[in-house]
Amino acid sequence: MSKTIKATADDIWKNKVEKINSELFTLTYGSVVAQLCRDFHNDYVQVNAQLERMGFNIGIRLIEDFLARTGLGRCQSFKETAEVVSKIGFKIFLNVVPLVTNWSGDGKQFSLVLEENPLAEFVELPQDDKASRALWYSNVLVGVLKGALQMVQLEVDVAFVKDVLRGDDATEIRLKLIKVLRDEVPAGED
Amino acid sequence: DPSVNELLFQNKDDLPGTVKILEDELIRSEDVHFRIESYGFSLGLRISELLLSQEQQTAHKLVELLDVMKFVCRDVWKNLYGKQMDNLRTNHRGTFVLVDNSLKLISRMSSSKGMTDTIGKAQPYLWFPCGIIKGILASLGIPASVTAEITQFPSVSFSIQTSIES
Repeated sequence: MSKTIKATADDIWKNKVEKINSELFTLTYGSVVAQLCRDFHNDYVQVNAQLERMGFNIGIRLIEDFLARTGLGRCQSFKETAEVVSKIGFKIFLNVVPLVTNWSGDGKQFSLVLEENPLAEFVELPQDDKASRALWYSNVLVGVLKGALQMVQLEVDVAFVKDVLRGDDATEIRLKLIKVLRDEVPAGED
Repeated sequence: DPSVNELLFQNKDDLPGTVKILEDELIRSEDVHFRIESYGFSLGLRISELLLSQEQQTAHKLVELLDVMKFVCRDVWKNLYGKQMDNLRTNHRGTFVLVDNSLKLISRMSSSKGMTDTIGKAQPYLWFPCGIIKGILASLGIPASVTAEITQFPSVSFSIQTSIES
């Protein structure tokens, strides 16, 4: 199973995804974060929230692109969702495959550990303690994950728990399944 | 007063799968223009440094203003958009026109309301590359104003006005 997932993802990455220059991508994201820090006068809590909001808006749209490229159907379990997010989602959009790990006993929580983070290339946080304690530089990913998963009826709590930019040993995003939303059919449609 | 940002977020028509947001007149506000241009500017400053450190030989050649423009047309554009600019013209008095016959940022846009609408909606996307060019020139000590115009979609002319005589 996992082998076919990998093969599918590699194929999509190679043949169906248009690439852009990674420096363009990284530096553009950096400009956005820097601008937000200025806008919010280095209130990093607000910057995090804004990045998440921007990501959410990306995520609710990106999922359509994801489904169109992959032609995948519904996942049977949250475990499968985790695999698909990591091995296909991250692979085809960012060309990295985060490690799925730290499952909770009830199977409703797991972590994505990013060995490489394309968003954070060339990045150093400001020397002030405040930034390294409060800013989650790559927080847009949190929003993207939330938005995309919500569009496939999964209400998920997502948050960064570690970031190498802050001096942690790894970059880790925690996902927690809150509930599976019911398909709601708009009134007047069968 | 809520910021333009805040107001744009409140747009009720901004639903997944739609591009309604591009019809919001706030998109064309000075605030948004300035912000998008600054994203590009900040990127230009950095990418210039990065490219010149990777290609030391090019760095030595940037003597004349024209060399700098060629650097933008060739190295920068190739690096960012996978192709060079298609045309470079100058009046030798500080004005340059750089033409990309198919700007990647907008080349695949298409409005259901026709070409005039497509061009109108693509316009805000051009503030970004204008900012990039401005940032690169600034990093090399050349203050300039840069504007872009869609001549024949998706062909874009960038007009660069510097105060330096060449």
